[in-house]
Amino acid sequence: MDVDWNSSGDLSRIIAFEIHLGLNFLMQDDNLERMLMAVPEHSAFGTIPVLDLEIGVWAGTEQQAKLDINSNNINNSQILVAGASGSGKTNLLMTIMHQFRSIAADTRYPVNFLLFDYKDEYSATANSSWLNLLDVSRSCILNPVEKPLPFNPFKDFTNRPINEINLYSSEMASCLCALSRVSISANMSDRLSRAIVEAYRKTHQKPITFAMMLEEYRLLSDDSQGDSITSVLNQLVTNNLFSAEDKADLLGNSYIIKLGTFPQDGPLAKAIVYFMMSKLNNIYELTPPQDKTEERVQIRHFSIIDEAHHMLRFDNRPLRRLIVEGRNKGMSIILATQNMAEFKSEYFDFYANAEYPLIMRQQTIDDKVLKDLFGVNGRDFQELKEAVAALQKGELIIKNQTALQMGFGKRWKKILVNRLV
Amino acid sequence: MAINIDNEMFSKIRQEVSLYDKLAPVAEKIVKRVNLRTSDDVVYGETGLNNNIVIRVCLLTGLSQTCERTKDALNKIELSPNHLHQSLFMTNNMLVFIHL
Repeated sequence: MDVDWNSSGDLSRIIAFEIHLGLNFLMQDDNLERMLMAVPEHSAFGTIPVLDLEIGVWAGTEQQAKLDINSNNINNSQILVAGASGSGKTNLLMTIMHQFRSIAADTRYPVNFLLFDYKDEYSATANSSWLNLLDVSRSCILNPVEKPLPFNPFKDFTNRPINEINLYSSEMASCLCALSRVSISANMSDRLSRAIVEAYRKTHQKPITFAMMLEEYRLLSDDSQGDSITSVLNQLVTNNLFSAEDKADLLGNSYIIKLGTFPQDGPLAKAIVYFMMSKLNNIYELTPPQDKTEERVQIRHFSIIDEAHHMLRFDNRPLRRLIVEGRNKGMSIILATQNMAEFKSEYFDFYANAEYPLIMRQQTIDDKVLKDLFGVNGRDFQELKEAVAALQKGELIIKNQTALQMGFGKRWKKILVNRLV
Repeated sequence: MAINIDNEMFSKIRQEVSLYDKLAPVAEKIVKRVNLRTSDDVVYGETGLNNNIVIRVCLLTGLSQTCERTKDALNKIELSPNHLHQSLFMTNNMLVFIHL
């Protein structure tokens, strides 16, 4: 077509024509929805994003250090972060989360997250820019003090065998006992378990509530004064932490749970984290397997538990299960704590199940953990220990997978983390 | 084919007659889809959706269409004396036509 591109008349007509063409297209069928949701079938938007998280540079080089989260070369996508206060842990977590979100945002495989904000750092109005980095708005902040969390944490056993409820009730009973950190007799634990089964019987196996659990427990109890279990259940009921029904999609959206008001090692904060992880387990069971290609697997969701040591000091089955099996459904976990020894709990070796243990500056260095984690001894170990001791803010040590596989070379590498917040 | 258009030209682009009336249905459709509201309680001011955004969305969508363009179709377009604002093309350093 013969067009004079420097004639304002021709150019105006061309632009008007293109606007018109777009307008007509958008008004037809569901073209607008398809465009807004950016799900073209045969384009890069439709492919599983390459989640190679750029977290910094390898020390001594200018080469980007990347964590491969979803290629078929890695066994799982779990990340452990151990770093003392002031080691740059929050910045590292933000960098990881920002990478997850920004890489996947414009694809049909967005990665959502659940973050437990123990110190109200992420939900602070002064840190509003952090939310922009995570591509969320303030509406994602859930404050259980103001409003119950919009989830029922209990499992739905409709049309399931009663034996499953029995097993589940024992697990719940032992968890509540662990959360309260008080000595509980076998009798009390058994009574709680029976109370849970009884509550489920009354709901016809639909999800129960803490109030129902408490009521049934009281009915089974001889002690009118109440015991330590009554006290924990009472706290959970009075504080009204969870809704009786699910009102939000935990996997399909991102949430920051504000926990700053609760004492970190008190039963309420622990109960919130525990029951949210338990809820994720329930969702996990109902979720279809994730999409896969020859090179990559879909990651749907990641949960971040900072100050995770509160969750590691008892037999935390939901967390264990998510760590071991989460990848099958595209669920990833990031745990952060101050002391590297916390991840080697008596109940579970988190290191053995995490692809990326990241060691930042430590207050106390645990020799055994370092030796086991990096497979080093003698001079290599001394060198590694010195390197960990010399870590500065924003630096971390990671396993050198190539050296570990080849059986020679330095078994660790240092990363200088990008400064984001 | 490289097309060179003088930046100055973008201040001289005229609108099609009744452009904003024609945009209204697609604007309403976007508002409804994004805010998940019913058409009864649509309040444009609350959405942050301005006409420039709607024009840009339509223009970019139009440019992505692969159908044939003819001189006849272009000549049928009636232009009003009003101009499109230059910022429509220049926002966020977007120079739509410069690299066509």
